[in-house]
Amino acid sequence: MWRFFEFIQNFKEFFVYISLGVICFSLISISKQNNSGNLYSLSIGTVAVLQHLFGEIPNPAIMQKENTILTHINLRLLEQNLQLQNTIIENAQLRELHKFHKRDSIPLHIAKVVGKLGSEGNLLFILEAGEKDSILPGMPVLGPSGLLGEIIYTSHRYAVVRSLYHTQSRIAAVLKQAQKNGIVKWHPQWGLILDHISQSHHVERGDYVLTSPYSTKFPAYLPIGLVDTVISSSSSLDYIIRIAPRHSDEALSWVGIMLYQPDSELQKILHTFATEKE
Amino acid sequence: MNRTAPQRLDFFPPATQNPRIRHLFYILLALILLIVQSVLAPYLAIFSVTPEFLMILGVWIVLSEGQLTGILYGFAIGLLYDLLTFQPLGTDALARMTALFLVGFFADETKTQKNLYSFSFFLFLFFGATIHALLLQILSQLTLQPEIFQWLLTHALSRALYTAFFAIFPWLLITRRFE
Repeated sequence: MWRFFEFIQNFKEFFVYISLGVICFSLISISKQNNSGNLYSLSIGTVAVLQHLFGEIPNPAIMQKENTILTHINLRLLEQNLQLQNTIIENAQLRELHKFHKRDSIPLHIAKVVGKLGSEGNLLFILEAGEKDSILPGMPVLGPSGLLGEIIYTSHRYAVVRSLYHTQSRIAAVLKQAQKNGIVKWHPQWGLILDHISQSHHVERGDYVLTSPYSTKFPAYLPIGLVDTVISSSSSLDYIIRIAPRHSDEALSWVGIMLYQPDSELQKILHTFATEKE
Repeated sequence: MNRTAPQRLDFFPPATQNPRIRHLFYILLALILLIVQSVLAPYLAIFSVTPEFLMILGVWIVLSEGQLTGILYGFAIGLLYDLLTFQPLGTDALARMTALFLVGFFADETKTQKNLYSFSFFLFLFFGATIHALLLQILSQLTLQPEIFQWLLTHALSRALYTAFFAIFPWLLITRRFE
């Protein structure tokens, strides 16, 4: 017995390391399965207050980038404004001709971005809108020109958005012209990519990437970005399709939260299926 | 190699000879650095690479207090950092603890002063920060494809280098003051 204690005493660092390692793996597994929002909601307030305090500090590198982006956005808006004027006239005529029915619009809650956490690959936003504004986890968040991410945690006054630029973000998407479905995700080497598109299909640069009608989380056909580069990989049957997002995260100050909740019954079925598969 | 904590750190200033005061100082510094790391570090990002201030403290603790203390600090700091950055709980804790555990093999009671106050400290810090960044990326990505491994290594090395650069200032301050 004494030798056993002596053995433990001699290798206590290893025992402590292994025990804590087991605890870490269990915690990772639990937080990925249960989405431990309650625990995180405690820290949202703290982080939001800190972001409020330090948010006023100017970041010269970002400001320079922001100025360039704003100039580009301005020019693009001018161009779009001209296009819109023509489109409005055209649209009115088409509506009259085809009795085009407007899709049920989903209410949008406008929220201020009070903080940004992490960098590309791990990017989260903190919004000044929470449970008091009927914001719930899973709701899609729109940037000025397309999908930005989804709400993952909420507290009374604040909400955390997991952006497209996060390793854990997965979005069912479709190519507008090619009509092929894939998954939009963040790749550490290539950035934002559309995965699971077979190399047997033809994909063109500039094709629109939209949320898929098969998506169980987001409404269909929300713009995500444009196809930037199509890379054929010899080690895979699928293309690596790089997506140029339609907006930059640097200049974001206001976003829209779609008060849309995925079908709970469908989510329940999917969850049961995933659990059985495991 | 003796990896246990040194009994007396003679070269430390008198106030920090008391282990309780020293640990209180470490805890306070860890809390401050947690805020700095999660809120202010993005301002210092160069090509999305941010310095790891908490690793500087972690490596210092391991080399001065021993491997076991380092592991416990790494675990606690990592858990708090996971909470502040909304990562799955345990991700950073595991990566940080493993990095400090490995650095701990170099913690020797007889060489504590040499490890802390010479350029060896930067080598240990560089080693620890690389392991931490590499493990963190692997744990959050949970896929290991050959083409991204090279990228991961480059990213981890650049992060470790950037961290080592930031360690120069507090290191110079401490070594000059308490030499």
